[in-house]
Amino acid sequence: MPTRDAVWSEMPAINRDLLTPLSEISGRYVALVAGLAAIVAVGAGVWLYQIETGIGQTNMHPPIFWSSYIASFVYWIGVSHSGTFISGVLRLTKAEWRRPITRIAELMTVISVLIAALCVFFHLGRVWRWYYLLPYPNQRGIWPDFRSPLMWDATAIFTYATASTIYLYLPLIPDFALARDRVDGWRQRLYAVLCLGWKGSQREWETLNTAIRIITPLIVMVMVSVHSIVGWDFGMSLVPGWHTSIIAPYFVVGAVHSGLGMVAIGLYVVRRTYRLESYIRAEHFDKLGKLLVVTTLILAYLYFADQLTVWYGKKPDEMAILHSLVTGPYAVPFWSMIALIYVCPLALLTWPSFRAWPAGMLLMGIGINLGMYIERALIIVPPLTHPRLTYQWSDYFPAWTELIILTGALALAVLLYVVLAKLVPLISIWEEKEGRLHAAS
Amino acid sequence: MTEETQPYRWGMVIDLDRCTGCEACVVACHAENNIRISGEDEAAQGRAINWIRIERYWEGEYPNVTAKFMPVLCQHCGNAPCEPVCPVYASYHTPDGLNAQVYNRCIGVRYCGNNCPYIARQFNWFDPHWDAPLNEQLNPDVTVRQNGVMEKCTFCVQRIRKAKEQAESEGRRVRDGEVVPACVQGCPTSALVFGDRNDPASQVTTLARSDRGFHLLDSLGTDPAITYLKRLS
Amino acid sequence: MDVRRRTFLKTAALVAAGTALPGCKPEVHKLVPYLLPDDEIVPGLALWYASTCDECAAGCGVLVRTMEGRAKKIEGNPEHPVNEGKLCARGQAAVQGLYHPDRLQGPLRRDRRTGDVLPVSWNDVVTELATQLRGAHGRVVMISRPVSGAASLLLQRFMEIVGGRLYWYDPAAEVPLRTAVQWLFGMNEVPQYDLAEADYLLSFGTPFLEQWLSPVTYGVAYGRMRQARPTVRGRFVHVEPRFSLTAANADQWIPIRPGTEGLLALGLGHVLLAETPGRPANAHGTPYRRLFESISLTTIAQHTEVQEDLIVRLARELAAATHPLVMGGGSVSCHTNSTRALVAINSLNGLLGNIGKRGGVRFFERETADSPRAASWLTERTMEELLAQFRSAKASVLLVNGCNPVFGMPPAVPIVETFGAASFVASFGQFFDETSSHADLICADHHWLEAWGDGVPHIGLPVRTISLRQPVVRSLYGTRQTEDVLLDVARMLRPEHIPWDSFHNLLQTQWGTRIDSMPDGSEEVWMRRLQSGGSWSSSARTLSPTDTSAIVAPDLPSFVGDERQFPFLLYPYPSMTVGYGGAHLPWLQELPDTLTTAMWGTWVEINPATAARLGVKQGDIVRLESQAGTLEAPALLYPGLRPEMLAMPIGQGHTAGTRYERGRGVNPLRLVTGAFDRDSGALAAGATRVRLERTERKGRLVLLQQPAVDPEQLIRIDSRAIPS
Ligand SMILES: Nc1nc2c(c(=O)[nH]1)N[C@H]1C(S)=C(S)[C@@H](COP(=O)(O)OP(=O)(O)OC[C@H]3O[C@@H](n4cnc5c(=O)[nH]c(N)nc54)[C@H](O)[C@@H]3O)O[C@H]1N2
Ligand code: SF4
Ligand code: SF4
Ligand code: SF4
Ligand code: SF4
Ligand code: SF4
Repeated sequence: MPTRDAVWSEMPAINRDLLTPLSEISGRYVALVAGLAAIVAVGAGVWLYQIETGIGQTNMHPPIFWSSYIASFVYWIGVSHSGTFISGVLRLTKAEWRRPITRIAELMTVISVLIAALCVFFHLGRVWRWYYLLPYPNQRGIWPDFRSPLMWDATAIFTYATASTIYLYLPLIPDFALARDRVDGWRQRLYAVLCLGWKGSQREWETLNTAIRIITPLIVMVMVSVHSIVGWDFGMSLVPGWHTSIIAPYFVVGAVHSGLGMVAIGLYVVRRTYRLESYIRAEHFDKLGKLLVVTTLILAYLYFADQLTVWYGKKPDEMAILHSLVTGPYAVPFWSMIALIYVCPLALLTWPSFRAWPAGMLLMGIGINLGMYIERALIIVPPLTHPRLTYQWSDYFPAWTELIILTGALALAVLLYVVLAKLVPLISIWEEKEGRLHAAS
Repeated sequence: MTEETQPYRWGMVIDLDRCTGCEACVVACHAENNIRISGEDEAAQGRAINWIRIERYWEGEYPNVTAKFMPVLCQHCGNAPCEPVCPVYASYHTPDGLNAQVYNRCIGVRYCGNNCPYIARQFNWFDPHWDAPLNEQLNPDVTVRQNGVMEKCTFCVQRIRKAKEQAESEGRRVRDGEVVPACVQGCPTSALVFGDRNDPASQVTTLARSDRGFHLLDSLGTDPAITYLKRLS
Repeated sequence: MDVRRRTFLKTAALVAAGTALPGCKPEVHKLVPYLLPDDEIVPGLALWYASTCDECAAGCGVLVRTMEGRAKKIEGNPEHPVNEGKLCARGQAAVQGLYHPDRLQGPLRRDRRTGDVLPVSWNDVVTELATQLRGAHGRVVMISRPVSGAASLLLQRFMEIVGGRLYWYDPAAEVPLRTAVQWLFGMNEVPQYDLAEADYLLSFGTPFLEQWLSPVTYGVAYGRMRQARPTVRGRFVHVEPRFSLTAANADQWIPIRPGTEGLLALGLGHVLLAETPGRPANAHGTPYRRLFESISLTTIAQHTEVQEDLIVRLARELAAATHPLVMGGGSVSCHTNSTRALVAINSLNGLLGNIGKRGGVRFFERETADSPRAASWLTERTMEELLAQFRSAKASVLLVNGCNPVFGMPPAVPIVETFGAASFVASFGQFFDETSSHADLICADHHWLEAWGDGVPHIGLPVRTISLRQPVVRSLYGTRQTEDVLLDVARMLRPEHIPWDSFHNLLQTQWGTRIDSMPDGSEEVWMRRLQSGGSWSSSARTLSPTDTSAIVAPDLPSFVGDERQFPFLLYPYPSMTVGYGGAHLPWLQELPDTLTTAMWGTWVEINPATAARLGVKQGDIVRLESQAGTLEAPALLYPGLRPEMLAMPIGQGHTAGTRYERGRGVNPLRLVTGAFDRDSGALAAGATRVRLERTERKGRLVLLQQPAVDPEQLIRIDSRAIPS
């Protein structure tokens, strides 16, 4: 165990390691940003085309009124649980290993909430009338209908976006101040503004810690509520296969599952890109792996409980959906999903040596996210294609417009992350230092 | 409540023992309500708009095959699942028991479409188009729906309004048979009957009491304003 | 119903204001700019005009809602005896014909050598017609859709002047049935089949709930038969090789072997005679016995594939019914033995003693003065005679009025050749269709919503009815009503024979003679008639059919094509949506065929078991081949069809016509060989054998019931879904 003096002597190196990525801009970086921006531009162009001509550019048709955009909305909200869960729950439980990974995860949260909101806009038939969703005073005295789960959703997501931004911002203040003192030019002026005049006084630290202590449990509650509400968008409806009480907890756990998977991807990429092996260590991947085993088990349990109920009850409306998944037209995606989010995590993450293998964890993260994306689509599409009046049974596969717009959204998420990586230290510097001091004897 | 102010409760009876599946009602509804011509491509994508359709269910195999028909239109549910889910009050209930659709409010989230168990709701995936001069036929009493909004059977609300205004100006209630929606009017076999369920003597109320009566997907508790009468055989 | 009447009187008042507009002022022919609206037109206020639907021969009474001079909606005339306020899909869609983007807007002339089609003036049209007709006097043939009333009078007068023969042509005319009725009852008309009052209906192939003769009349009656009587619900058994929409409404469907329906009727009569001594209750005893006892029940069961005990049961049900009724037509009318089969079928009514009775088969006196009996029906067999006649004549003129025989007759019949052999062909119609594309002169007719006319319903009705047609909008283009053109031509040829200055004048004069008996001024009565859409005041006298012993037993049908080489029987049936001549209306194109749910195209129906045996899947393109031709269309698995048959709807596959129909789907008549009903000469459209070959291609089936589900599974799934 290092002494406190030894830790103090590491400080300049930590500052250097964690601040240099902010100012280094390589040719590859520029190429990456340009490439992503191009994809985003194509996606935006296709979206405009869809707005101009009609939402009919998608493959939706009655009775499939919701599809890939809503699936992506659910998926991105799920990913946003990365930050809140990792930093919120781990902060609450005072898990020391969280320190190098909270920031990486919190950034993901803010970005994916944004992308999720964007997906709702892709979906609207008359997106130019989106403001009807706002409770603004108007001549006709009509407000949005708060009986609609979509209004709960809009409220929850707005709260969540605000709270998670604050939650990202608060621990950034000391780091911005640190950066202000160590860079020059426009960045210095920017950080001077962003750090809100942080001087590092004892009172400031106490205030900051109190604020973080207050907002942490709150954000965890918002997190649970937000994905419960997303679940209720489905659960409150009468659609067979959606109308189930387990859907809220199932959505929350599923969200954490994909969020953790996304953190694994983020950790691997940040660590590789900025050579931060001494900060993001095998230990972190190992801990993340263990958490994933827990979420896998809970999710599998909930899913099993739900489908067992369906299967045992043998209600024809619901059985039709189950059949379509297990042996019907959705069997390939269904079994891929089972393999990716349940079987592989359980089979592999229970091996300690796999958990400590960063590349393996990267693949696991990708697999889980792919699986969860499929899972979102399977929650939406098969129930809608099997309404109670069988005369209306149908099928659905996304149109090229949908795929391009959604790829554009994914590119936008990555682009925002890559750009923010140049403005925000990806590891919380002060918390890292604090952790090392706590660890020192 | 006085006789004049007691609300109406519009309802329909569909006698499956009379309905032959001739689809005169379908064209009548198109003609009355400015329903777009979707065209072959849209129809192939399952987007042809029909406010009323004849569902056909096969039973058995050759040679013991039978088929049953059922006209399905918006059931104007008393407890309509499509209403509370709409975030902007575009789908709402009128005091007369109609499930109304306010095209101007609708932003096209299509939640109502998912939540209608009868798949009665139809969506405008694009702007409608009529090759000129087919547009000369459009009914000036009915809005032409724009790209991005939901629509469905209105129980020919324009005809209801007209009859109500007439009745109000004469200081009386609308008489039984005074409001006839286009589909009801055209139906050769009189399988469709429309009227006020709050009028205990109306034809629709009398027929709805038949022991052949049932509600479509009754167990969902949607309280439809349409009562079907079973086909006998 | 009291309320209805009241609404109607109100309507009539509005009509009163309206009739003056296009009718009595000759100035309306001038183009009045719409900036100066007529006084009667109040923006936002609807005017209703009573008129008569001309989309099919039934002639339903309509009320047309117009606003600001535009026709908006066609509604049934509640007082009209044909349809009692109801309409069929086709009638509802007719307003799209008026505002059709591809209507002919004026007369055209086609150059035979270059094929160029150029506009001409109406003056030139009249002069040219007069010249041609003068040069071909006595060798003129007119093929017209069947008309009655003033138009029929005019056509007869016209043909007398030009010297020639007038034929009625309507592919849905049921010529074999008319022939059979003539043989059996000595009546040249279709009787009333009073199903509303029947308590047992046995139908042999009649698609009376789809498009047969007068579908709305039958639809109204069917509703009554089922549910209008407090204690009686009429039972209904339907005999047809295909499970048609009508069959689907029956309590029992009997998938008989095609062409053997007449034999089944014999079998039923056989049992009836055997089991009820004393039958028949009328004078036909001996011929009936000869007819019905000519074949043994066992042989009949073998040929029809209807089991003996079922035949016995049906006969007993007929015998037990208070008002049994037997009808035949449709699929019975498309074989080589149609007339004889229909004789056997209809004579069951005589055996059951229901001729002239309520709930039975009734004949009524009709408005006779101008009935359409002056012409004979053009059958496919007649075409060969016409061809020979044209080939031998030096100059001959063919006039085609308001029908499309080039589409409605199969290429195996020499129709195109006949058009080619005539030295001059003029067509009258609203669209540039298959027939007008073979004409030298194409005369653009008014839509019936712009035209005058009247007519006698072509099926028997207990009320003496004659309907009126009046223009409900000003004509949109430079079209002219055919009758007016013919009047002009006739006047040019024989002015002394033409005392009328317009068809409207002819019509009103005709009605004047009818109205004269009423003292209170004919103009006012005429207006009242226009407002109500015709005249149906007195009930019609019942006629008793003459005794006839011209009964012959039906023979077995013959089919064209070797059974081993062509193992399937083709079953072309008129589509319930587009039918003959409705394919130009987008509403009908998009109207799903109720049983297949298909829109916008043609398909080949195939029994799922046959499809499985051949490895044909839903939507696969299959090639059908007969001795007459080949065609390709997507397969549609159809559980209601005999396994050795392939069914196809008639109505699509137009090679000319409007944007909505041209090049869409295929016409199954291309496969049909030139076999005819032996007695009437009508096309035996169901007498063709075909073979089926798979192609490796998928076709496009546009279905309302969405194709996600394998149709083989659908039946199983549907069985649990039906909520009642
Ligand atoms: N939001 C909105 N505002 C508008 C308009 C709009 O479209 N929307 N339109 C604008 C236009 S175009 C106009 S013209 C104005 C109209 O605005 P106003 O001129 O205010 O019209 P009205 O509301 O019809 O009120 C006229 C008053 O005259 C009374 N009145 C009726 N008959 C008589 C009479 O014989 N003698 C007298 N002394 N009084 C009588 C009526 O009872 C009523 O109180 O509104 C303008 N304001
Ligand atoms: S018009 Fe009447 S009989 Fe025909 S399908 Fe509609 S409801 Fe049935
Ligand atoms: S049938 Fe559907 S659209 Fe109509 S009221 Fe009921 S839920 Fe709403
Ligand atoms: S589609 Fe329109 S009516 Fe339906 S929920 Fe959305 S906004 Fe409401
Ligand atoms: S009631 Fe009116 S809107 Fe509804 S299906 Fe009938 S015609 Fe259409
Ligand atoms: S049956 Fe139909 S098409 Fe024929 S006249 Fe009547 S409404 Fe017109």
